[in-house]
Amino acid sequence: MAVIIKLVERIGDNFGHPMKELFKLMTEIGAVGADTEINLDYSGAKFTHPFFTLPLLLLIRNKNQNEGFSIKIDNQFFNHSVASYMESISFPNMLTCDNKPLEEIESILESYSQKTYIPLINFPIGDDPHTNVVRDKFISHLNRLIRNIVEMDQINALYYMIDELISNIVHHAGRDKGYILAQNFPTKGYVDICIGDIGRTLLESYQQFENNRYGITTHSEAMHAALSGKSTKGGIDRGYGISTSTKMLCEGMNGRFFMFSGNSFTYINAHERDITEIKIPKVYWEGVLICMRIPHKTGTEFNYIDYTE
Amino acid sequence: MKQEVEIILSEIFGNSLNTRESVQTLMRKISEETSSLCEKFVILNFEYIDFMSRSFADELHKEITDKDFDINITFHKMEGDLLSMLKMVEKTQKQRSNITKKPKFVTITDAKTLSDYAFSW
Repeated sequence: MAVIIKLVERIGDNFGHPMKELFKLMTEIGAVGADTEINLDYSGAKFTHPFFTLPLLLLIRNKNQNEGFSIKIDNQFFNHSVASYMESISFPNMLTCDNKPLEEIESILESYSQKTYIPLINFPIGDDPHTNVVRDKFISHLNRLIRNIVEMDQINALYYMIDELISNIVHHAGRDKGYILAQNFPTKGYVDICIGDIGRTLLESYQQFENNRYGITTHSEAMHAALSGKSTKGGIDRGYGISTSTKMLCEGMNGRFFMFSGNSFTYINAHERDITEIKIPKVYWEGVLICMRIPHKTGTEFNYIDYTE
Repeated sequence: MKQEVEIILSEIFGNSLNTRESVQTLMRKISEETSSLCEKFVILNFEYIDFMSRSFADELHKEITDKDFDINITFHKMEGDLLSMLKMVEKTQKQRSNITKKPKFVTITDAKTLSDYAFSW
């Protein structure tokens, strides 16, 4: 007999509320275990959020594909606005770039050019020539989409951060795909972007680089290494992406940053930079998950180039 | 007489230059266009380019400063931000700066503390 877990109905504006609900869900699913079918009841949702929506789907996918769980989601939303929105962003099936001609990928993204969001979409992470071309086109069209959905002072800063983080996902993930979901909130003055994967953790990525060149043994150490710019790509000039993006976003633009990998996460704002190790069973991210809140307005002194090192 | 080839980047890449792989595409194009020339002069026209990623700038810089690269490159219509990005990656080939604040390390062992902490952000 299936266990029903009721999902959160309304997610508030504070940056950490979606993460709170994600951690809670992980604990609840972990408590049930893989031997029992689980139904996630999302029907009562009144307000959803990208920082919960994307991780929810990736969590289900990872649990079902890699950990022997049987988790289903009830997405027959009672609220018509929520139902309409979730269908628009392609919940729960997602859009995919897999095995599609470039023209079709371009056409898919073009169809969202007048919306306030980037839908749930995955992108390839291989490095064969064809995949590189597909991903290049995907990023170009993503930038075009972003230009249409967000009016902000420093749009190039946004391009820079998304580009760097997609590159990092492509490099670290190692398997499966990368995923993105974004929502602009014009009246609230920010855009929220969630990018993630269910491939390798940061720790695995560092440990597999040149026989663990940096001697990293814990997820917290791997998190710290990534934030410090330690590269797994070789070369003094590599490894800037996460470190420069977080500094740009949080110190330069007064934004917020969250990254979760393995049993560690970091929360960064203009004044805080915490790395937290979670010692709670089943609260663990197989891969890397990143959430960013990017304000539309920046100070007059801000120039993103100053943060690119 | 100097023979110049002009490559208009927006015709190949659209409005943004994103990935290292794009640079390889560009290098192949440059090679094709200059294969029949004795002295090789190439103009890279950046008109209509809104954004150049650090990855692209870094890879481009590496390619054109390689000791075996024998083509003269001139950048045309390169806006301020793009030029600044290129200059920035030039600096990173030799040095790194220590840019990050030291983080605070925390361990959480119970669900309520984790929940309260996340909700406080």
